[in-house]
Parts: sequence; structure tokens; C-alpha cells
Amino acid sequence: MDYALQQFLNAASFGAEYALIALGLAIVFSLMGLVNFAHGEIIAIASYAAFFLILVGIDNPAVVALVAIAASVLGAILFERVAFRPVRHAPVATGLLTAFGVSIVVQNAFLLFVSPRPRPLPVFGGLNRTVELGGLKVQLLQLLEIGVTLAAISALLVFLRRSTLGLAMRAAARDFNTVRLMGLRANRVIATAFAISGLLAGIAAVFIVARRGSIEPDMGFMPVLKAFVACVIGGFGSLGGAVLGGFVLGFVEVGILLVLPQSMGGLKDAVVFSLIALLLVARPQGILGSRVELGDKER
Amino acid sequence: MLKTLLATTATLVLSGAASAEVLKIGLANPMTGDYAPYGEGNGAACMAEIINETAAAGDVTVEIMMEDSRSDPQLTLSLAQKYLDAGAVIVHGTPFPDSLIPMAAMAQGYGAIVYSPQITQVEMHEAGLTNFTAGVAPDDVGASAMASTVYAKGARNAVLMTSEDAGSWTAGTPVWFGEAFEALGGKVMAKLNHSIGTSDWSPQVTEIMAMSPVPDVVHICSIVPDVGILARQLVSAGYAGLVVGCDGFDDPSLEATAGSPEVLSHIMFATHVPVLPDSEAAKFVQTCKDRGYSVNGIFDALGGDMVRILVEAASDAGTTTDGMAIQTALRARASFDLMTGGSLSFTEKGTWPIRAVPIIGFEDGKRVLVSYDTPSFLPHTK
Amino acid sequence: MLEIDCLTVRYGPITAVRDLSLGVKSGEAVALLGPNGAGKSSTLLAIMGLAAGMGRIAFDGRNLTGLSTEDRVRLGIALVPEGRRVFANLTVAENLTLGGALLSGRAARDAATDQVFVLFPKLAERRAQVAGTLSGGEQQMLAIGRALMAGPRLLILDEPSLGLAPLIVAQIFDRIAALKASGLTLLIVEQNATQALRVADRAFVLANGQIALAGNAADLLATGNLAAAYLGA
Repeated sequence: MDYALQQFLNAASFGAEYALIALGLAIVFSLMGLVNFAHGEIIAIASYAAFFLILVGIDNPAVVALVAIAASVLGAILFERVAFRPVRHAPVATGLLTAFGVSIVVQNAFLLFVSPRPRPLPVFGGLNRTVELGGLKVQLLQLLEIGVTLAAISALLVFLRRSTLGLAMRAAARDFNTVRLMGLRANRVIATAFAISGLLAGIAAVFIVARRGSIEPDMGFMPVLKAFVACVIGGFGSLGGAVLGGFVLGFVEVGILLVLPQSMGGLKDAVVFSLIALLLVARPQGILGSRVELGDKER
Repeated sequence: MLKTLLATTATLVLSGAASAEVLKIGLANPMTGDYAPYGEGNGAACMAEIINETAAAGDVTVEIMMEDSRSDPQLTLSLAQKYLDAGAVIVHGTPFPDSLIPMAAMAQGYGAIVYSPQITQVEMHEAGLTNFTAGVAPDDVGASAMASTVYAKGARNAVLMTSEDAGSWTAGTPVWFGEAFEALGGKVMAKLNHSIGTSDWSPQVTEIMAMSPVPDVVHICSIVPDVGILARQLVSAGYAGLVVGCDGFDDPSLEATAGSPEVLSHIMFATHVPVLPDSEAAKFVQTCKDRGYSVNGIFDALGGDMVRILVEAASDAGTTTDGMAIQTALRARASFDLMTGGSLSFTEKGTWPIRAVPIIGFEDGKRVLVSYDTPSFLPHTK
Repeated sequence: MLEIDCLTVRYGPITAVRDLSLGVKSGEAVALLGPNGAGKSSTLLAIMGLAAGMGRIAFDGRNLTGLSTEDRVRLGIALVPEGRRVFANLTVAENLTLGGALLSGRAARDAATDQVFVLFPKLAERRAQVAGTLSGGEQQMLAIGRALMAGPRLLILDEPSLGLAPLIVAQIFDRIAALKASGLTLLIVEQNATQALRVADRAFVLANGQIALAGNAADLLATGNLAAAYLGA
């Protein structure tokens, strides 16, 4: 029983990480139709900000975490302002290429000015502690990851339902020009979306660094690839879908790892992606995506 | 740092002044990507600089051509092609079979050879290559040495962690460890899967901790930071046994990834040269750092040895342009003195040298040499 | 209040509006009529800054050239877009909140919402309903209510009768008449000329991007000239 519960928590914390990152991708995509593959570099920016803070002698984990998250928010806003705003009205492929460009530039900056190799960053190592919870031994990091993710999703939900800017983001996902007719500045709505995606990525980065204990220039690539898959599973552009897709992917990955016979270990990723392919054959628009939603989109 | 920058943007050329006897070596070195910690290029370039400075008239000097392979087999091969076209007689690159087996085939057409200072995959010695030599023993040798060491320390129940991601290095090494361990009287309880790039081992950790009895040794051959994270997560879940493995552990970032001396005290790994404080290898690494090279540890030390061995073989052969003649001289010589201490010889095995396997462990967070023997039981290599 | 001088709108080689000049005075209701493709919508898009036009457009004497759509809205121009364009995934109340996004404070927003509910009691009943599930007429009411939330001084309606049953159209124009009676300045673009002319003071008839006919609404309604203009004579 403990074993099952523990594996459930493991899968939930995998899912929480994917969901945080996938939400950031989905928010930007829902507004701009942009798959922001530079999202991984936002994670890297948060991590390297923490690294630089340690270099200058600031090592309080809470302070470092806050600054790292602030750095990723600023980084995301900066990406939008410098790279994505000039190509906002260009075809989708241009945005995608711009994202790859940003990704390469930022990775190479870290590579040249820091190091191409992993750098140790043990500042959040204290989170890798086991705590007793009702007789069950649980990793503090997992509890925090699941808890903070749920809190962040709830806060986002409240923001999207209660604040004018949140309403505007939901509305703009369908019809951007009409939102502008309400006098709301498109730049502000989009910058807010990027800021939120940066915030979520920054939170994810703290957990990723806590677990890895080290940073490297391309550390954001794999998480964003997983988040992209989560978005596809859930339905691209649907925020609920991104969260659901993240958790589905987490549970499928852990489940496959445990269920697949040892002799077929090399097929793990193949099985995971085959399952996803099957799902997409049944529901090409993803679990929560709707074709109407895509068709409705006004340019 | 500056030299790394140069190397990533343009071919780094270090050539002897006026000597006609220039040995051209092409290195498609992984400076970025998953295998960046395991490249030898900067150590090789540093040794080439040292040799060229001290060379007398008529001595063999070295020209290193080197660029970043980004750990990518395709790029490794196209760089190797470029070096061969530019007259390299010895080429090397990302130290994995998917790069090096095709590279050897390519080099054959040029009469050039592949010398890898650090590749340990057994398939390199079984692919029927006629122009390939490795500077270290294959993985099963290290795995066998590790099995003897942990068995002597009292370990009896082992879990093996395997992955198909990097060929026999990740898939075979733990199994050979298991064979040697069982030959000694130990028991392999289970094999678990993983992938390279794993940053959260919690499912496997939960699985291991649910076993009865909980194993006292976990063997894995993979890269940093993966293996450091595994050890940290196991220990934090209450695991009291050992986490052991291969040369993939041997990077300075292991200590930080593991996080504490407590976690490190559970780690041991088999490697090729003991890079311990005050060792010859450590001194070489420091010398190269002082010269401005971005060097790291053991793999750069192996790169240094590589250049020295090849220069001596070329001198023996009396040529710097005939790759196969250099290889013949390499395999004929009774003993090469190593810059990193000790010596090796290729006379017995041909494509790889018999050398003792250092097993590194940790005390108070510092690396210590646990054992340094040549194993007699070879699970795979004949 | 609104002055358009020599407006030309081109999409590539196609000229949608050519040298168009018209004015709307404060408190007045002006109808812009004409068949499909006459250039009515292009004129509106140019006024709102959603299409690039040459010529001068001024609001309250202020040149709008170079101002973004958002800034034009902030000056007090509101557009009820063609096809209503309500935010289908938001509730009626949320649609109205967004319409009043520029209002400062909850009190101002609540007051504006109440005014809209007085004008369209149906919306009050449906306030928690998702806008996409409203009937066409209700969506048109919502689109007008949403535009009114910001307290505009000039309300522009683009084809308010489009796709609605005659009975509903009559209801909508009844409300538009009420808005005019309250002193709001209106610019109504319509294909349904009869309804528009009943509300409007003056009217312009567009054909091929140019003004074919202009005059008092009552005169145009009385004479047969209108039909001639529509036929391009």
C-alpha cells in the first residue's frame, strides 16, 4: 500500500513539473498561436540567475528562489519585447523560427560566458529531505512540487476569472481584435501572458535545480519537450488541457517504467509515444482541445 | 577559457615551429551536449603544446585539429572527414561506438587510424576494425574489478540499473558487474530500466526501497548529473548501501550533484587513472589550467597520455604520415610510460591495454583510492 | 464630432474606399448605407485604426492618424463589430466587465452594468450565462451593451441587423432609437436601409467606395432615389 501510494506521489510530482511548464506554453500559444520553444531558456535563465547569486555570495535559498523566479519573469517579458513583438503579425512559422533563434542565442550565451559543462548548484539541496506524513515517508520536494503546482494553478484560475486582464486573456485567446476594441492594449495582454509563463517556468526551475543540483546551458530542452507533448495530449491552446496532459504524461511515464518487462526496457519511450499516438488517433484535437475552438480563432 | 572559445569557433592549430615531422591529429571533441564531461581534447591540446615547446630539431611535433562535435555522431563524422582531408593520420571524436565505428571505416580509406584514449565499449573490439586502438580496458574489466571490491566490502545483494541509450556501456556494464558479482557468491536481485538524462529517479528509488531485503549495492553506468542525483535520492530515501558504477561518474561535478559527504560516502566507481590530490594526473590538469586550458579531470589526463603515446609510437615507426605503421609500432612496444603514472602495453590484447583498474571512493567528501588491481575474471572479453 | 476628409483605403491593388469625406455632428445619428462591397466596413475599420487608410480622420478636432485602436477607443469611440463578436467563452457579466475594462473602480463598473441592464433587461436575466449560448438577438444586445460600458461619446454600429429575424431587428432598432434619444452620437452602417433611415438624421449612400448620395434621412426615405443609388445609377 505504501509502495503504491509512494509511486502515485512520484507520478504526481512528475506530472506537476510537466503541468507547470506546459501551462506556460499553452498560455502563450492560446493568445498568439506561438509555440514558444524558447520556454526552456526561461528555465535556464532562472537557474543561471540562482547560480550568479551564489557567485556573489547570496546563498539564502528563499532569497535565491525568489530572485530566480523574478529573473525568469523578466526574461520572458524581455523575450516578448525584443524577439516576438516584431514578428507578431508574421506567419506562424516565423514565430516558431524566432523561438528557436532565441533559444540558440541564450544557450550559447550561457555556454560562452559560463561553461558548456554542468555547473554545480546545490543551493536548493535542502529540499531533498524525507519527511514523515501519517506514517508515510515522503520527499519534501515532491510534496512542495505538487502543492505549489496546485496552488499556482488555482491562483491562475482566480486571475483568469476575476481580473479584467485575466478575462481579457481568455477573450483574446478567441478574438484578439475585439479585445482591442475594448480599449485594452494588446501589448499589455501579451506581455502579461509572457510574464505568467515566465513565473510558472521560474517555479518549475527551482524544483528542477533542487533535484538536479547542477545547471547546464541546455537544461531546459528536455522539460519543454515533455511539456510540449503534454500540451499535445491535452489539446494545444487549452489551459486545462495543458495541466491534464502534464499529469497524464507523468502517470504514463512512471506507469510504463514500472510495468514494462525488463527485457523491453529500451522500448520505454517508444511505448509512451505509441500510447500518445493512439490517443491522438482517437482524439486528434487532444483530450480537452476542441476543433471548434481552433476554427473560431480570429486573426 | 579563451582557448575553448577559439576551439568552438575555429580549428585550433598548435603546430611545431619548423619541424617537418608533424603528427596531425583530428579531434571531433564533445565540448557541449550530454558527453561534454567526457572529452579529452583540451588535455590533448595542452600536451601537444608542451611537447612542441620542448621538441628538439628532428623530433616529432604535433598538430591538433579540434572542433566541437556537440556530442552528435553525425557532426563527429563530418568533422572527422574534414580532418582526414586535411591530412590527419589519427582521428578521434565523441567517444561512443555510433561515432567511432563509422569513423574507423572512414579513416581506413585514408590509411589513417582511430585512437580513443577513453572508449570502453566492448563492441569496439568486436566490430572487426583493423585500424582502431583504445587507450583503456573495456567495460567488463572495470565491472569485474568493481565486483571484487564491493564483495570484499561485504555487499551480497545487488540491483543493476541498465539503459539501452549508450550501447553496451549503459546496457552491458551493469550486467557484467552482476556476472562477476555472482561468480564471487553475490546475488543479483533485479534489473531496472533508466534513460540517459534522468533527473528524477523517484520511481526506481521507491522500487528499490520496497525490495526485501533492500539491496546493499546498486550498479549503474551512466553520466553525471544522473548518477549523482540517483545516489542523493536513494540516500535521502533511507538507503544504506552502495551506489557504484563506471567512468561516467568520474567528473568533478559529481561531488556537487551528490550534495553532501554523507551521500558521497555511498558512492564508488571504477575508472582508468586515479585523479587524486597530488597525483601525477592532478598535476598535469593543474599545469594545463595554468596554461589557460579549460581542463577538467581524468579525461583530459587521458588525452595528455594519448598524445604522448602517439608521439612515441610515431618516433618508433619513423613516420608521421603512415597511420598503419604508427599503429604497428604502438602495438609492438613493450611498455609506454604514462604521464599520469604507471605504464601500459598493447602487446597482449592488441586493441586495448592491460592496466590496473582504480576504484575511487569517498571519505569526508574527498576522493580516495579504494583499490587498484588488475582483475583476473573477465566476464565478457576473451 | 467625427470628420473624415478624403479617405482612401486600399488593399493591395484593390481600392475599397476612394476620396470619401463625411462628418458626424455631436448628438446626431448618421447612417452609412450601401450594398455589399461598397466600402462601408472598410471605412469603419479605418476609423478604428484596424485598416490603414490615407486621408484625414479627426475626432473632436483631434487627428487620429497614428493612434492605435486602443487609443482611439480611449478617446471615446466604441464599435459594435459586424457579426457581434461577443466573447463566446465568457459569461454575459464577464463580457460586460471587459467592455468596461477602462473604467476605474468596481463602483463605476457596477453602475455602467446597471445602465446596460436597464436598456436590455434580457441581459440581466442571462448575466451568468456563457455568451456563446445566447440567441443571435441577445448576442447583438450584449455586443451593444458591451460597447456602451466604456461610456463612449460616439457609438459606431456595424450591420446591427445582420442575420436577425425582422421582429428582433425591430427590437434592436427600438433600443438604438432610445440611445439616440438619450443624446448619444451614432454612426450606423447598414444594408437594411429602411430601418437605419428611420433612426438616422442624415444618411450617406456608398457605391464602389464613393459617396453616391447624401441627404436627410427623411427625404431619402420618401423619395425613390435610394433604390437608384443602390443599383449604381
